[in-house]
Amino acid sequence: MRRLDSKSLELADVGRPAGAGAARAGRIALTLSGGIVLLLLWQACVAWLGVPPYILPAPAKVLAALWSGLAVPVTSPTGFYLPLASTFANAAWGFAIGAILGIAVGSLMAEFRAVETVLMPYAFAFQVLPKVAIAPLIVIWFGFGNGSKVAMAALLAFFPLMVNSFTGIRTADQERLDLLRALSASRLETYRVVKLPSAAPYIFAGLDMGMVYAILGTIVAEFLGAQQGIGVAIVQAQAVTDVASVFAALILLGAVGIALHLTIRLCERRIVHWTVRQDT
Amino acid sequence: MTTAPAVAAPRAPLIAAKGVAKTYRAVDGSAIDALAAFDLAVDDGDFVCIVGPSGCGKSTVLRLVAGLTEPSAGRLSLGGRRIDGASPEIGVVFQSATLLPWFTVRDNMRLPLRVGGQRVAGDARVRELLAMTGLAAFADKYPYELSGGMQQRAAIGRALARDPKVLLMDEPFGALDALTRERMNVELQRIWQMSRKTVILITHSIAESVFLADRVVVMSPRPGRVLREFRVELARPRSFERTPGEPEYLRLTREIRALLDRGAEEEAQ
Repeated sequence: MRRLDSKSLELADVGRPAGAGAARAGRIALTLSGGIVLLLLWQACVAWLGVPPYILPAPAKVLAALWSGLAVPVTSPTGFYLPLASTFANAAWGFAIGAILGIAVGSLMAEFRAVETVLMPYAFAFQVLPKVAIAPLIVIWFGFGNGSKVAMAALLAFFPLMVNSFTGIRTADQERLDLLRALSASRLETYRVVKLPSAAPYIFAGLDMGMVYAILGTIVAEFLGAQQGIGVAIVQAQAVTDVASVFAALILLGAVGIALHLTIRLCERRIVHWTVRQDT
Repeated sequence: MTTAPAVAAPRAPLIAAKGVAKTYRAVDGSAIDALAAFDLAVDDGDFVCIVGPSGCGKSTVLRLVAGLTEPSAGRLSLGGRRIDGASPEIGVVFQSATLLPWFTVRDNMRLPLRVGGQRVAGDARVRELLAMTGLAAFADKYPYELSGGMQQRAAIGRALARDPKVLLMDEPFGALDALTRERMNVELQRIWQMSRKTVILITHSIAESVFLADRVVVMSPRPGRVLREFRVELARPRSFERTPGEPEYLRLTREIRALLDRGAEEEAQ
């Protein structure tokens, strides 16, 4: 794809068939109406079949629960804001730590055969382990406070970044590496100028995955015991069979996930601007 | 008179290859002889084109001179010193422009001044290079915003950044359309006449080699060695309006083509 500057963009707009924008709006409308139909069906099923609310609450109930958690002061102990902030903060710290370590270890493995030989088999052995099963150990080591949540998030975010930065660096273009060699560039210079930027698209794909895993890790650690967080809110709601609140918490988590995904994509487009537009 | 006779002391060539051989190991373990008994001498300021059939080891010659690979046998020297790695006296232009897409044209041209122990701010130098390659208006564009010819011009500018003695070019215009290619040939001639570099240009285009070179070196099919050298005495600056019509140009392209055809036939037998 070629980058469109403002001028060619205007031309493209002029030249575009009049229906193109409408078609896009139509697709969005279709997706939305699909969701609305699903909600209506859900509501209808619950009403007609008499499903008890502790099995499946009606969407209206879920929306009410969501509203009651959101339409409160930010510092309210019954609101969603405090647990959400706690979960988000822990996931973000874990994500940052896991991502930085993952990129560092992936880079070292890609740069030094010896490091690769030593670590790769263990990394893969660890990779196939269902890491959620390690959560109880993490809680034993890091306690019931924020430490275990951050550690779990970091652990889960680490792997996609390690694997992706390793792969990305190894796929750096040979001619570009030759160029740096012809310029007598040092290993660090080559890493900084060619290898890391070459790996950037892979690293962003890893960040996208790692973000989802970091939230997953935090929630799992919260399930095992915590003072605060969305995971705690879910467990507490479950304990009193307030299924509508469980759904509300899930919707909130989904919304946060989408927002973070879009943020990462936005950063990617800004930083790795050449991937979609280059053809050299 | 007691003055010593003016001996025409044979000046040592700037670049010399003597009996150079290069053997690659293929994936299946068999040995591939890319070059065998390759000899070449390039004087300071020469524009030498190396032509040959594809796979004849032309690019290997370039990689050897650039210090990117080591010969299996023989000796290569630059300014009398054995080539044992990359040198700041050599600028390389690769087959594809090999611009770094995350840098602007300006930063791409500045790259040789920032790495490999060079610590030059180089703003003035980069401005010179931008002017020389006619890219001043595109300094802050990214490579993907440039046409293929402009990208290759930027790559030439970058190769000249350290003001090297030698410019090595590996089929630099192979990916361009015929018209752009001719324009780039004229452009390269202009840049060469301005900078007075020693140039070794690898190509498979006979027309390009005769148009550009002082000397055309014709290589045999693999394992590559020099079949014959042709001196090109065409007046400079050469142009595509005039030069291709000159008898000398026609004679040289005919002879080189005949030589390459014979080589291809021998190989086929």
